[in-house]
Formats: sequence, C-alpha cells, structure tokens
Amino acid sequence: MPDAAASVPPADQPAAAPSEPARGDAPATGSGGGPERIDASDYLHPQTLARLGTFELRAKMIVEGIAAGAHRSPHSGVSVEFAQHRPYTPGDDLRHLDWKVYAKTDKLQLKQYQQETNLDLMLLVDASGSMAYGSRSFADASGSGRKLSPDGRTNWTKFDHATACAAALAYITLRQGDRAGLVTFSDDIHATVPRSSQRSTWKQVVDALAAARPSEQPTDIRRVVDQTLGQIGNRCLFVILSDLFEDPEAIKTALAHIKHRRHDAICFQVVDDSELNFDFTDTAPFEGFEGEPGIRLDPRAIRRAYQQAFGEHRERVERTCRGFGFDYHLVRTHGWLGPTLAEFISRRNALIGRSGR
Amino acid sequence: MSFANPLLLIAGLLAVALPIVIHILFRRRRRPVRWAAMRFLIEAYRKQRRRTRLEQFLLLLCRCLIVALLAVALGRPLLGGGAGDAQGARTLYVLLDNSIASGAVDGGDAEFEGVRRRAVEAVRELDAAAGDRAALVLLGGPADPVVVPPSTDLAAVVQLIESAQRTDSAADLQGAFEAIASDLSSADDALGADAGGATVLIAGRLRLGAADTGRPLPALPAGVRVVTLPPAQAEIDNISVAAVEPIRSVIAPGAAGDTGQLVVRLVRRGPGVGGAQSVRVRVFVDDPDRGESPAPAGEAVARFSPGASELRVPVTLPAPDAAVGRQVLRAEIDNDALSADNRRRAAVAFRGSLRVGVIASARFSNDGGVARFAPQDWFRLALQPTEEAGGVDLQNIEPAAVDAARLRDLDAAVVIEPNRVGSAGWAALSGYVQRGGLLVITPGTEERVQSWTDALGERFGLRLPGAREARVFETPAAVEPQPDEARAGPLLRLVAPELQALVRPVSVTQAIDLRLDGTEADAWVPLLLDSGWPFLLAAKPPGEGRGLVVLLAVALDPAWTNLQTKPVIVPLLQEIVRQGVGAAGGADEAQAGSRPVLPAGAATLAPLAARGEVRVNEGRPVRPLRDAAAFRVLDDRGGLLSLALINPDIAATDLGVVPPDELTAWLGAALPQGAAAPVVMSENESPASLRSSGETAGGLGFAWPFLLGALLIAAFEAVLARIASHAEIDEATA
Repeated sequence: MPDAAASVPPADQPAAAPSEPARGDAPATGSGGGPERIDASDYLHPQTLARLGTFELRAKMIVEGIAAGAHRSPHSGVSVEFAQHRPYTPGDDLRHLDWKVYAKTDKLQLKQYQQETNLDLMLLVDASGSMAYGSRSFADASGSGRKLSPDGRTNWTKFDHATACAAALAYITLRQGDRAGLVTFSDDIHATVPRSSQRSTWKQVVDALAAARPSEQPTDIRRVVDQTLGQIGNRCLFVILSDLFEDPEAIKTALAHIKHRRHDAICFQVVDDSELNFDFTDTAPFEGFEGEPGIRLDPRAIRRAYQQAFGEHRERVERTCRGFGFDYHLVRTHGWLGPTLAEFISRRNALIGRSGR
Repeated sequence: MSFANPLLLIAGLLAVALPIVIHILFRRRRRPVRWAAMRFLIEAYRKQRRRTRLEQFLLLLCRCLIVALLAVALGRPLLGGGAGDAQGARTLYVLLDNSIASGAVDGGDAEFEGVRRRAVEAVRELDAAAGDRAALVLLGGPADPVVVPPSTDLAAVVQLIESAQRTDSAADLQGAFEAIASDLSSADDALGADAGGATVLIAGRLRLGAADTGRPLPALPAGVRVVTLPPAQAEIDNISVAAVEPIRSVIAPGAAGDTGQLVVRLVRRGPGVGGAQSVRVRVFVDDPDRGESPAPAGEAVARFSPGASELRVPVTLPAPDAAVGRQVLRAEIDNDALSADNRRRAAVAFRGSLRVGVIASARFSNDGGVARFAPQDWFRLALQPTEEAGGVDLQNIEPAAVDAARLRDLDAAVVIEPNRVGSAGWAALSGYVQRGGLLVITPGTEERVQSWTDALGERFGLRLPGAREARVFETPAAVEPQPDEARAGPLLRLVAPELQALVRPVSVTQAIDLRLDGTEADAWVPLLLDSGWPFLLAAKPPGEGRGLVVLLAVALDPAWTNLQTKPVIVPLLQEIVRQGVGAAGGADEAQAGSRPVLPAGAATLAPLAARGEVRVNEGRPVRPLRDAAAFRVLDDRGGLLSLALINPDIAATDLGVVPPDELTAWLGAALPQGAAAPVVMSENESPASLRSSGETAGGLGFAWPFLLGALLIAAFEAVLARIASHAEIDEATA
C-alpha cells in the first residue's frame, strides 16, 4: 500500500517525531481488521499532519447540518462560539485576526470558532486501470528508505497518490468534527464507507483504501456519481480523485448531476509527470491498462501531438469544472502532497471567505 | 556496364540488407511499455501515422541507397567496356613479338630483349587496384593467346612476359588480331556493353620478316587503340640456310650413283648484298639414337659474289660403311645477326637395300632371250642390271596373293599385271600406300580393257577416265621431259640434265590416257608424250595420308613401246624407285609453327636434344611446333617410325625495315573508319604515354559520381533523421 511518503517533504528537510500523528483530536491510529496493519502514518506523514492540522475544509455553500448544533454559516454573523487561537498562515482571512492579541504580543493569531454547521465530505477515489500507472520510483516517493510497496511494486502510482490525498482530506474533515465518506470506483462502485463523523470512520476509510486495487476496467464516472447521489440526501462536498481519462462529455454530465443536486465538488486530477511530458525516446510498443489496442510508435515523432491532445483534454475538464463553479486542481504524483493540499485548502477557504458565504 | 571489382559490388549489394536486418532486430528486441493515457496516444498516433510512416520509409530508403551506392562505387563500374576509358579501368593487350625475326641482334642484345623490357614496363604502368587488366598474346606463329581474356593479375602477366621465349616461326599478327577481336566481341556479348576502349600494344620492332604488310589484318572493333613500339630503323645483313637437299632421301650405299652428296642453299639479305662475302658451311650427321653430333661430317666455304643473294653449296659427306638407317643432316653456318636461321635439317635414310615387290605371274623359265622378255623381266633387269649390283632386293608376289602381310616389309610395290589383282589385293595395296609405301603400276598387256583403273579411282581417289582402254597411235609418239620443273617433281631430278637425250629414242605405239579427272590429287608429271598426255604420272592420294602412286602410260612390251630396249630404262626405273621411296615416305620436314602430318601409329615426338616430348593426337602434334628441332616419331611402344624435322621459317627472317607510313597504313586498315590512327611510339617514349589524355594513374574513375551520390543522400538522410527524430523537441524540453 502507499506509504506516508506521499506527503513526505524532500529528503533534505528534517523528519518529524514519530509521535506526531496521534496528537490532538486526530483520529486514532488503529490497526485494521485486515491482514495488514494499517497505521495512519502509512497515509499521513507527521509533516503532512502538522501542515494540515490547522486547516479547515469548508464547503462553498451553507451546509445543512444534520447533527446537533447545526447552524447557518459561521461566517455570516455572530452565531459562532470562540474556540481557540492559532497562528496566522498565509491565505487566512485577515478578518479573523485577533488584533488585540497582536497589539499585546506582536504576534498574528487567528481566532477560531466552534463550528456549528456540519460538512459532509464524500471522497470518490478512482480505482480504474489507468490509475495503476506511475513512473516515479517508490524509493523516491517514500523518502524513508523503503524501496518496495507493501505489495512489492517499485513504482509510485497515481492510485497511491490519490489514496494518500483522500486519507489526508478525510483526516482534516474528521478532525474538524465533520462527516466523511468514501467511494472507490472504476466503471462501478467498488467499496463504500458511509459518511460519519465518528472516530472509527477514519479507520474504516483507511481500511477501504488499503483494500482497494486498481482494476483493469475503465472509468465510468457518470454511472458512479449517479449511484452515489442516490444514496445521499443532504448536501455534500464531493471530492473526486481521478486521472479523469474519460470522455469529457461524461465528466460534464456527472458534474451536472452533482450541481443539479446542489452539491459542491472539487476535482483533483491526478497525473504522472510522464503523462504530462511524454519524454520517452525509444521506439517501443505501448500497451494500455484498460484493454486498449497496443501500438508501436516512435515517441519523439508524436510527442507534440500527444501533448496537444492531453493538454486539450485537461483544459476542457478544467473548464467544465469551473463552469459549474467547482474547484479543479491538477495533482502531480511527482509533487509533495502536504504543501499542495495545504495551499489548495488555504486558497479555497480564502475564496469562500471573500465570497461572503 | 561492367565492374572492375564485381565481388566487392556483390558484397556491397548484399550489405544493403543490413539496415533492414538491423531495423527488424531492433523491432523485436523492444519491451512493451504499459501506458495509461492510451486514449491520447492513439489520438496522436492517428494524426501522425501517415507522416511517420513516410519519414521512416524515406529514412530506410536513404540508408539502403547509401549502402548500395557505396557498393557500386567499390565495384568500380566501367562504362564503355571500361578498358582504357578516360576515367575508368584500362585494358591493355600486349602483343609480344617472339617470332624468329625478333632474335635479330643490332649491337648488343637481341631486339626481343628490348621489346620484352618495354612490354613489362607497360604492364607495370597499370594499376590492378584501379581495375586495370592486361592480356598477353605471343606473336610467334601461330599466335598464342597466353592470357586472353585480359586479367587483373598483372604480376602473373609480367611473369609470363619475362618467361616468354623466342620461336623460330613467323610473326602471326593476323592471328593475334583475330584473337583480340574475338575476345572483345565476346566481352561485348557477355557484358552487353561497348567493348571498345582497349589499347593494343604491339611489342615488336616489326621488321620486314615480321610485318607482312601485303596481308591485311583482321578488323578490330571500334574504340580500340593500336600502339606500337618504335619500329626498326636500320636494315641488318643476314644469311639464312634456306635448304639442305641431299641427292637422295633414301641412300643405298652399294647402289651405283649413290653418294653422300648434298646441296646447302644459302640466301643473304641486307645492305651487304652488294659486296662479296664468305661463309663457312658445316654439315653434321645426327644419329637419332645418339643425339646431335658435335663434330661436322662435311664442311665447305661458300663465297657470295657481289650482288648474289643466293648460293648453292655442294657438300660431300663420307658414305657410311653400313646401313645406319635414318639420319639427320644438319647444316650450319657461322653466327650472324640472326642466329635462328643459321641451321637447318634434312632427313636421309641410309639403307642396305630397297625391298621391291614385283606383282606379276611367276615365270619359270626365260627361254628365247630378250625377244621373249615379259614386262616383269624388264623391270627385274632394270632394277638389277647385274648380279653384283646391290641396293635393290626383288621379291615376286602373285597378283592373286597380294595381302597386307606380304606388303608389310616392302619399300616399293610394282604392279605389272594390275588386271589380275583382286579386290582384296587392291584393299591391301591401298593400306600399304597410306602407310607411306610406293606403288608403281603399269598397264596390263593380257587384256585390252584396263579394268584396274576402276579400283584406282575407288581405292586411291585417282580417277583416270581415259585410261580404261589403251589408245593405239597411228604414228609412234615421242616422249619428252616435263618443261615445268615444279610440275616435274623430284622423281627424275637427279637425271634431269640428261633426260632429254635419254628419252629421245623412245617411241610409243599405244598408251593409256593418264590425265586425271579433277585436280584434288597432288600430282607430278615428269615425262610427257608429244600429244600432251602424261607418260609418267606420280600422284599422292587425296587427303593427308602419305604414300605415292606412280603410273606408267605404257606396258614394257614391244606392242606398246620400245622403252624397255633403250638405255633410259635403267635410270628411269631406278630413279622412280629410289626417289619414289623417299617421296612416298612423306615429308619429314616441316616449318616452325606448323602441326605436321605424322605417319600412322605415331604416338609421341621425342626430341633429339634434351627438351620435352610432344604428344600426338590424330596424326598430328597436340600443339604447334614453334621451335626448330629434330624429333623422333615414336609409336605407342616407343618404336621409331620416322623423323620429324622442324626448320625455321626462312621467309620470316628478312631483317629489312618497313617504312613507318606503310606500317601505320597497314595497322590503321584494321581499325574502323574514323578511328584514331595507330600510334607509333618514339624511341625515348615511356610506356606511360599509353594513357590517353586526361587519364590518371590509379584514378577512381567512374566511382566518383557514385561516391558523391552516396554523400548527398547521407546528408539528406541526416537532415531527415533529425526531423523524424524530433530532436528539437528534446532540446526544447531539456
């Protein structure tokens, strides 16, 4: 299974203490019921947790809380209860700065309030065949000296990266007391973890991610979204973690359905650097993961055309997402998860704050 | 188009497969790449497929073309037959004059040594690496194409030139030109190209004896250049032994009139003919079993008077004590400018007696004296005039009993009663003549019709349409000697001076007509009737066999003639038999360069001097005999059959000079109209001048355009490969 190295900083940065993952109100580390021991540190490196610990994931719309204390948006008025201070980080809404503290201590501290509305997070993790690709070495991605994945692979796949990302988002959501659920899928739903804010949900999510494997089936996101929407009554934040190698029209339809049901959505398109650059040099036969016909070609001869086709698809997907008012983020497997997620969440929250919602 | 290095060409063309093989091998060795974003790859591939395939095809084509052009360049294509092409490989035909005239010494070495040196230099000027080729034809007749077609092994050609020996035969430029023309035309047929462009180098001084400008040369193909070394400038004095003529070729020592006399005929040419000159003539008698004799058996001094070009020198040899059999008479003169024609050989046989068979009915008594002599009695009397007279052994043979066994040991057979010889007898006589026997026939007196003439025509090819019945003359006819010496032949040559007086008393009352139907037979007519009919006819049967048939127009009978009662009868019959035996034995002498006809049963020619044996095939030597020599003709059991004497070709020993204009015109006549005139090199000109203008030694020739083409395509391939490899994208992304 993927290692916590998904979010490990570059090797030249100091490693954090091993006790960090279990601090605070983070979901307890646990051992899964499966044959393998699942540890939160397998997914969330202490550095990542430290980076994400102070963030809150918000939905763009007013979430209808179903749990006790469900209220309107805490940003709309006074209906919030002060909880604590935390240090300012770039991107935080300056309106929440506690100027008094600043006047006394000369430090920028942010006021945090007890959240009274619940956020339902539904993670959709793509486990189709194409997610099994990865050109980055596992040793490079792990940064902890491990050269092989638990199942013996030497490469770090897109699915590895997507599961790490999903685990991190679930961690954040559960930590802030919201509900999180999980769906893994390809052309159909593989596994589901119902939304819950209980402490055991984290373990359920991690167990489901550990048990998932990319199948050899293509993605059918429209079908999966429809099936998922059928199980959800209240409004949710959908986080789609996929390479989105699918017909843009199908993606558009799926997102339209989400929008129609007044849900929010974030698309994380997970891609490998090789898929972006296509930097092969030798003529070779190329074979797909999802039963596509193999072709022999000179990569240099068609690199430009490939990059053009790939770029057009990515831009179209992004345009579609943004057209529905959803966030789109390109996640490179060769990048570091912690800073990327932190930056994304920070920007998103800042955007929501400015919109006044 | 031909190629100087066809093997390199083939190897290079096979190498064209290399790019394809490499392409296939690399194609098989690639490991597949698992790829997720196949939808974009397939989309891009569909857009680029046609262009990529075209680029790859062009690249493969370029690479194959480069290899092919390099192969062709290495193969060195020869356009226009290639030989001597201004920028291609050259072909040189060396015609080395090793004829008898090339042995002329004008100062130091023989001229042959000089021309051989120049020929070697000319071949060494060629460059085998550049595809140059050389052929060698030795001119000593008949022309010997030693290296034809031309070879690129120039070292071997040089070695053959250096090991070439002079011959005693005439130069055969005609044969050499024929060989070259045939080779060039066959090269045309084989290569499908113009075989012109070759250079023919005549390596010889071309004196009068070597250049028979009266005989036109065979035509050479277009484009061939003819170059000749500088011809001889000065005439040289030379004396040749033109003939050695023993009085008889068969000598019975005990016979009357037989002596050891012979005549040596000398011929001199050159500017010195105007003055007096003496030369010593020595004659050696070589025994075939003991080789050449070191000591002369006879000697004489010949003195040419001013202006005389020919001289007959009589030489007397001591008669051998016993019948020593066949001997070789070798006449030699002192060395002069040309030594090869200073000796000549002739054969002579010293016999104890001649065995003559008289084919006539036996007569048990001769009562009545001369008046009742039968023709065979006259024959016996003429051939054995006295009891003591030696030289001829007579044997009686019944006409009905003539067979091969009885004829085997005879030197001559005299048929007195031809009508009584049966068919088997004539068959035996035919075989006997073909083996070299002498057959003398007189008409029969017992019957009016001479039916034997049919057998003569059938068995010997001698047809006598008027001889079937004798003609009776109203007035006795006279007998006259043949006025034409050549037509008279050698039979009565020894008595020729007295023959007129001897035959004057002879009268003929009836005779058969011995005029031959047809001219195939080689016939002599030493004596004629005053009517013009042959009185005595000697004919060789048609074909290449030996033997001689002598016919007398009359029977030795008073009803026919009074010949038998006249003094001429003795010398007439004696000479017929003695000279006829020699003539029937066939010519033992032949000219150098020929393949003489040998006696039946000959298997080997063994030289008297220590040189290699020559095998015999179908009655002739397997190769022309170009050197003067004496051979023993042996049968397959090693028994001596006869001698074969090869004498130098005196006609080719004229050491005069041919005017350059005449020489140029003669050689030029062999070239097509409009072709370049033959080049006569100057004395100091080097063989390098054999190159035509613009030609360079060792040049790459026609290979250059192919190399240039390969370079251009290589440059194009490099550009195309860079475009097809999309290297600029690598650089942009780097």
